[in-house]
Amino acid sequence: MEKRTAFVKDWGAVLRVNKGRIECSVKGQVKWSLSPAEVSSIIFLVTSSLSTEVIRLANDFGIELVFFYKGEPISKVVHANYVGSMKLWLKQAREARKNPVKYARQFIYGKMHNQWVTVHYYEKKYSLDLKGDELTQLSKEVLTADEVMQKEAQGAKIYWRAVKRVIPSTLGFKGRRKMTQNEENLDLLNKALNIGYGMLRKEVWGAVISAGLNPYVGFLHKYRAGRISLVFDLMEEFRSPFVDRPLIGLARENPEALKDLKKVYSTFLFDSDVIYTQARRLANSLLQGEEYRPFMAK
Amino acid sequence: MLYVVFYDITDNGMRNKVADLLKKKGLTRVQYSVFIGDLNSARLKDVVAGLRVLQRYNKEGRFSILVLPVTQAMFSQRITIGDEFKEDEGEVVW
Repeated sequence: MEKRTAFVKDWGAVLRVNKGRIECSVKGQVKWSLSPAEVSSIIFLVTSSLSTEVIRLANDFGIELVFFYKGEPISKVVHANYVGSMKLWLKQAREARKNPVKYARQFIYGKMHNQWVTVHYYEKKYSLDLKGDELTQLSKEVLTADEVMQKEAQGAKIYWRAVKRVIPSTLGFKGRRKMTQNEENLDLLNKALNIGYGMLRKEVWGAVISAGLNPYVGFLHKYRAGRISLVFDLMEEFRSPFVDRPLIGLARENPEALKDLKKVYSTFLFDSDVIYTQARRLANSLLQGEEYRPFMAK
Repeated sequence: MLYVVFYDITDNGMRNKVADLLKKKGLTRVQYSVFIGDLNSARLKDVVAGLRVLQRYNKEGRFSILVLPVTQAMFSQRITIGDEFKEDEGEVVW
């Protein structure tokens, strides 16, 4: 049975347990009621109240409780039993200090390869020249160069220019913009991309924790108190195939759909097997010293 | 595997308890006293154990529950006359 993802999107919603089911109501009216056995995650998008009984039940059934603020996951409930694996944490910290580039290279190589796959798909489909070859060239250079971040930035330029050419110009997409002070100024595609990366981060975060890794010690992203650097690292490989590709598809097919939040959020129900496998691969690589192979999209 | 649960219980309070238990375990009500759900073996055991506990508390009157396994293929050949129950709406609950 496929488990479901439930969203709490109504302002002032109340979440509680009623006869063993998790119930979400707004002003006394029940919005949804689900058995804990059929939910995999509950995502809070707005201010709402939450009964501690829900947290207890979620822990028992392994339901993920994630809290979003402006499309970004800001908090996640972690089971008290979770301790990670000390051995793995130590190895991870040692590698991050001694030889961070070894892993950083693989993440970026994977990322650029996957960007190329996306670009190449449209090159073939519409016989366009989107400079996909330059991306492949760059991704190969990443494996030998030390300035990994520089190559990544060069790749991103080519990539977003290509994306701009394949989506309808009516969307007003001028290039990738991250969160700005004033989010209203963002175009629809950038808003949707932010949501997508937020959802991806939630998923990778869950995978990192279940693989027993320490989310705060990254290789590519430097350590900063409170930043889940490893999650940002692992996300890189999945951005293009899991977030950009479905969104480009949606933008080309039905640009109006980008206004529909439900549609946008449900575009990002990821194949979590792939993401969890990558997290475990990283853990194995750290423990056994094998080479880490990034996720290569097809 | 899909399971169809039928019950015939005379006591009103007990009948409600059984219905609540089945709902709690993630089964969907398709008729007043018929539920259906996709259960794996662990969840099936859990449901059956819960029903047996309730049976022990049944003081008098009829208490009869039937749990019937059905394959997806057989289920898709069902014939419904009158109102068909609503299928689940998909992976996202909004």
